[in-house]
Amino acid sequence: MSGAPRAVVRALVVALALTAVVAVLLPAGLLGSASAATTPTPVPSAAASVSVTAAPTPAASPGVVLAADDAADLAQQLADATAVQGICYGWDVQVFDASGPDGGIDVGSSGGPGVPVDEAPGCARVVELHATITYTSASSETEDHASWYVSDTLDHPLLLNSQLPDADGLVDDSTGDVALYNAVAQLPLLVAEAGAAPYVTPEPALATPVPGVALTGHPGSDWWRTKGPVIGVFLFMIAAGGAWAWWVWRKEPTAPDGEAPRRHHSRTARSRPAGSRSAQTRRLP
Amino acid sequence: MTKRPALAKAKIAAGAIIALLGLIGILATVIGAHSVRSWVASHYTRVSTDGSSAVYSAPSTPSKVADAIVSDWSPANRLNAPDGVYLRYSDDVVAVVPAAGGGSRIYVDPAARGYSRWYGAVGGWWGTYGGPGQQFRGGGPGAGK
Repeated sequence: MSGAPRAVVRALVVALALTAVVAVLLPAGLLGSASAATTPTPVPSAAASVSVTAAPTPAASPGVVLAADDAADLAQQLADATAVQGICYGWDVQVFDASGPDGGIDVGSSGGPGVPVDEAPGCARVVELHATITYTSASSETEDHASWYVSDTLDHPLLLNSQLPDADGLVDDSTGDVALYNAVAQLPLLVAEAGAAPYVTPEPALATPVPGVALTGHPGSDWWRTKGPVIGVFLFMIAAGGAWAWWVWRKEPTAPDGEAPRRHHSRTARSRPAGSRSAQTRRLP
Repeated sequence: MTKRPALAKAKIAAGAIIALLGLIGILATVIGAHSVRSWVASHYTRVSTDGSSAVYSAPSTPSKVADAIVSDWSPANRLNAPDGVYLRYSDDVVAVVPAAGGGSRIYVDPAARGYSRWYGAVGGWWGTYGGPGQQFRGGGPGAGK
């Protein structure tokens, strides 16, 4: 064994150990990371306060995707956008369930939850998201799938469909309502970005924090959520590359200077003596 | 001294190079931006600061800016709204809204302050809504809106 490969392997092991330590300590903030202080501070006294009684009122029966509260909230947001932009927004979701009771239709618009956008009053210009969710039977080889597209009656095509995220999130029970809500709620923003209508102004900040209102839960480490998969790939490269180099290092023959390489393992049939059992067996008819 | 065949040396070198690339990748990842806050600060123009809060400007539309941020720093929750895109991170809330003169404004606030600032949009989605024991929106806290 020469000294150079041994030194390389040692250096890799030491570097890997140091990197692992840094990778663990840095996201945890133990090495003085650049994460910001999180001390809550009063909100700037910018504008009007929001009453704590301004919660959205559930006014609709639950849909097959959105809960009643969510549908009412979404319809209210769309109605606010319609008041600014003069464009009606809506959603129309068809759910097919081959083996269960989850099929149905989820419809709503700026006219209200459960109100199709073409039945909303005073809508000359309409933008609507159409989605189809198909839950296949357990015996089917086809996976559950979903798709969506946006239709509009605006003056010129807005290419909104190219800006929709992937619809796969719709088929997941835990994220389907989130995916639909986000896709519909962003339509007024996308229309404004395309220049077809003015932007909806964000609601002003609260003059004073609402007593008792606070974030709940903790999302976990941003660093690991974002960088974890990449770190995993790099660790795999280190492990695989290092293991491969070590395996070749141990397996391949070595020889002193000026001599032929000497094999450590597994003599092959080609190197066996002519009189050995294997050689004799091969000569049998 | 011992010698190895050239092929064996090449194989060892290949494995070492792969491991070294992985090592470099980890170091580059660790040395890079440590939070969405530092990532935004390094990619956009700061307009103002107020304590731990900062406002940045970007020439692109809000949805494009939000997608750029999300592609490099995955949020725990994303809420799309007609007036902007709101992202929740472990320690920060990032809001991307349209700017008056075109482009976007990016607000980076500590989580609690961001929740208060954008309460009209995210209130009830990521925390309590209207007081203790009252309703959440979106199926409860942390439901991922």
